[in-house]
Amino acid sequence: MALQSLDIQRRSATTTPSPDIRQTMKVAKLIDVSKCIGCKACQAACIEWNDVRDEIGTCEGVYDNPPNLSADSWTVMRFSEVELEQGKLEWLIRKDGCMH
Amino acid sequence: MTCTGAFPDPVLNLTWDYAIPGQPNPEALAREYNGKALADIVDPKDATKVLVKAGQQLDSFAQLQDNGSTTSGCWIFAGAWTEKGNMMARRDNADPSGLGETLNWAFAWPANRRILYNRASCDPAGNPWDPKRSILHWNGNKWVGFDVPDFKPDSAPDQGMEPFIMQPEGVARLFALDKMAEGPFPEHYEPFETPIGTNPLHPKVVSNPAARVFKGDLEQFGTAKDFPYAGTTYRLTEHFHFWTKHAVINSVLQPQQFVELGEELAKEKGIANGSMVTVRSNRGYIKAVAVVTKRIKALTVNGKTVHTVGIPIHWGFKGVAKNGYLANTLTPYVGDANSQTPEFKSFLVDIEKA
Repeated sequence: MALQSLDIQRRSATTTPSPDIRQTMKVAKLIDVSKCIGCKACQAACIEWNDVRDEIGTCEGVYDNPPNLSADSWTVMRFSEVELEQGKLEWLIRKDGCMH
Repeated sequence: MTCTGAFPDPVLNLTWDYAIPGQPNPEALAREYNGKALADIVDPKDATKVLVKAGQQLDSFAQLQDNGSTTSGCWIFAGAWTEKGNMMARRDNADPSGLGETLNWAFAWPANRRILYNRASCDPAGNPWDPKRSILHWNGNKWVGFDVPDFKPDSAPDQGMEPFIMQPEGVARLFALDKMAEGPFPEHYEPFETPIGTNPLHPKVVSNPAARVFKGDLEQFGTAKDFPYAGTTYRLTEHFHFWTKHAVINSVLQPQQFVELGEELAKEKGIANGSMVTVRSNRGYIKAVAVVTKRIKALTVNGKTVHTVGIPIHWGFKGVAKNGYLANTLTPYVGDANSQTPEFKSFLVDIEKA
């Protein structure tokens, strides 16, 4: 597990003090869905930043991959093709995350 | 080092003064392609004035000499790494013009100029066409403004020099003159494998007569009778070309080869979403998962319904992604008339349940 994910502030059962020098970087995410084209770069960034690797899966007839959030997939993009009226297709792409 | 070749000198005497000869670092290469003076470079108007001392980095391509006293990897890069350091690493985003002219942000070739042919932003007298959006003007002695002039800096407007300095006419062109093999004007040609079998504009000349096709490849073209669907290849945003099938993260994001087809065609052919299909051209076949999508619709072309099969490239016989077929097994060998780019975006295929 990468250090970035473990911001230890206090520990029990030890007399060794916890590290208090380390300042973890505070990160905020701005997601502008009007700009999203579903490239999954955020999914790749999440995989790298948190140092997790899900299995290399299969194609099930959709772009969604990995298909769901899991212990090794903390961000997944979900794609929906919606045509409320004939000729007005909307490709809706949603970023789903673990809320960390 | 010795060599028995006829003329080994250019190779044996190559300048190769990197700190680690087998691993030149990017900084050393950038300094080298910028170029430096091998002897003192003097002002052409005043021989007593030294512009660049021997061994110093050049400031711009204007200092390059034709007598071997300067080096440069390529003239347009001169100015990228001067005596002041790495100009490409500058990060001052100040934009005094308000028009996006951030001259102290990185470096743009040539000469850190941001808008090519920027003399054309002024009228013949040297005043900006739009005074509110001035990037350059003639101040009575020279061209000045927010950008580096793409012009002889002291050529007065009344000298009549035209703004498009790299064109023989000095003005912009509305058509390609003598540069395109198939003629000066845009024209529509059908791909060599055309789903409609004719060119609605001129049936006697269907495809580009100036394109490059070898005889053996010509014989491998299919027709719409046997291969009724328009095939096209493309890349996915998750991937880089064919390379990233060897990279784990890209393969996690889009693991397995698929082709895309519209709902109408899928229904017609009894193809279920997520099932395996075979896609054939007259040159071979691939097998892949079918992605049935609303994003691909049937087109009506020249009165005929044309379905499209989308074929992302990426997968192959080796890699960390699921193994797949080479998409270019299907594609035709046509080189366009000017750049010889292959006609891999438009060809004919058939598709069926695997």
